[in-house]
Amino acid sequence: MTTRPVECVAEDSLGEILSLPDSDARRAHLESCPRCRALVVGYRQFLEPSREAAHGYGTQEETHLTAFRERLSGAVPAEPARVDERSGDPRVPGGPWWSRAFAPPLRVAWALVAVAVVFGGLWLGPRSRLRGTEPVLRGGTTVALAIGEAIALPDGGIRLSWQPHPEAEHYEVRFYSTALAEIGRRNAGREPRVTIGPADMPEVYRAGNVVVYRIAALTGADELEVSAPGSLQRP
Amino acid sequence: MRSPEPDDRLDEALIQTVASDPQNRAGQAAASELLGRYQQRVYLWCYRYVRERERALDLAQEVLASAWRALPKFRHGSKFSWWMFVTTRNRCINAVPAPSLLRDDQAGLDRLPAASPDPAVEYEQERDEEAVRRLMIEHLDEDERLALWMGCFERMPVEGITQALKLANASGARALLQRARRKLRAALEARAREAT
Repeated sequence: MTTRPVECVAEDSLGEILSLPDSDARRAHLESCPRCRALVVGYRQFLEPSREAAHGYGTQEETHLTAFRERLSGAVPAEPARVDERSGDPRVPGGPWWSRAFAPPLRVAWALVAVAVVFGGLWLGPRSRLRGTEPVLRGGTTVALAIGEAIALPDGGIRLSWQPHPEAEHYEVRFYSTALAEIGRRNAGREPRVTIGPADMPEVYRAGNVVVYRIAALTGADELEVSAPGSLQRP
Repeated sequence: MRSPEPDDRLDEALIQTVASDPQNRAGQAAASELLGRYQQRVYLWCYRYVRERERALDLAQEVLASAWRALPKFRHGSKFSWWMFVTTRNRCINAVPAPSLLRDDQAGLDRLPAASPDPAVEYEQERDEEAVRRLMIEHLDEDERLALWMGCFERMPVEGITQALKLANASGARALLQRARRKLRAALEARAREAT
């Protein structure tokens, strides 16, 4: 077989070409060129690892890399990771989490942490104790509560859905600015879906700006899980 | 345990927050959130290359640290997910040795050294990426090109190629690589004969 070689594209440009329609001539090059096709196949695999591959990433890897990320940001002092009381999974050796959490020398540290950042790697007991502090959105990739499609309604409201949590009594939608400061909460009831009218959407959303949101699964006042964030923007 | 779904709009919003003031708390939190959305993907890609947990964690940390430093300079308008992939991929490629283009290193010596200069050896030494790309397009079918390029230039192990091509097992990728190498070598030898 003979094919006239075509000019290849720079790596930086490849990412933009992927956004072009399939009919674009530059997209055709991606299929025939081994270099470009390898990059595109790699990119797709990177975004969506296979189910078998994903089994290689568990709680230990998540905790390790989350702690490393926190050290990068310098947001959290070197603290022992929390113990997940519900699962009985001791993430640090020696002692139940509550004795560590409320030991006097740590109370000041916890207050600073609560003000500076509340991160998923640090469980401080029932979340209700932290109400009133300034929660800051942080990375969470391990939660089971997965958000579904967010639909922007013509009247300016939104319709959200998510995977149900087996123990949740009700859900809450939490809105954040792009600076990741919480700007509002809305009760979402018992079902894993909610329609929020325009008047109940945050002002920044009504103004046409991007808003970040998460879904919290609750039982009573206690938080069971919080989803990874999603984004919303009025069309 | 799944990564959050890709969300270019959220990525872009977080990047803008980082860019507006990378040193303040909001910028740092946004950067951490952004990298957190990809840390599982980064780890799994690194593991694909080094096939060992501790090395994969070390490599993933290098990638995250490198991305952290470069975030304030990220060029807006391009996809962050693409940039994160390229950053991870480049670091992984540098972490493993370059396999032979024309020999299966795991198969051992499969032919006696040629009496006359071996065009394949010269080709191997130069490793002119553009010349190889053109030769592959001319002489290999699509899957052969992809497998050989991934193995030799992306330096992906056979297991990674198997996953990327969605083959049933590793022997499928190995057979593909052997066939591709055989055809490429034959093309080089034919070219050398024509030149003499």
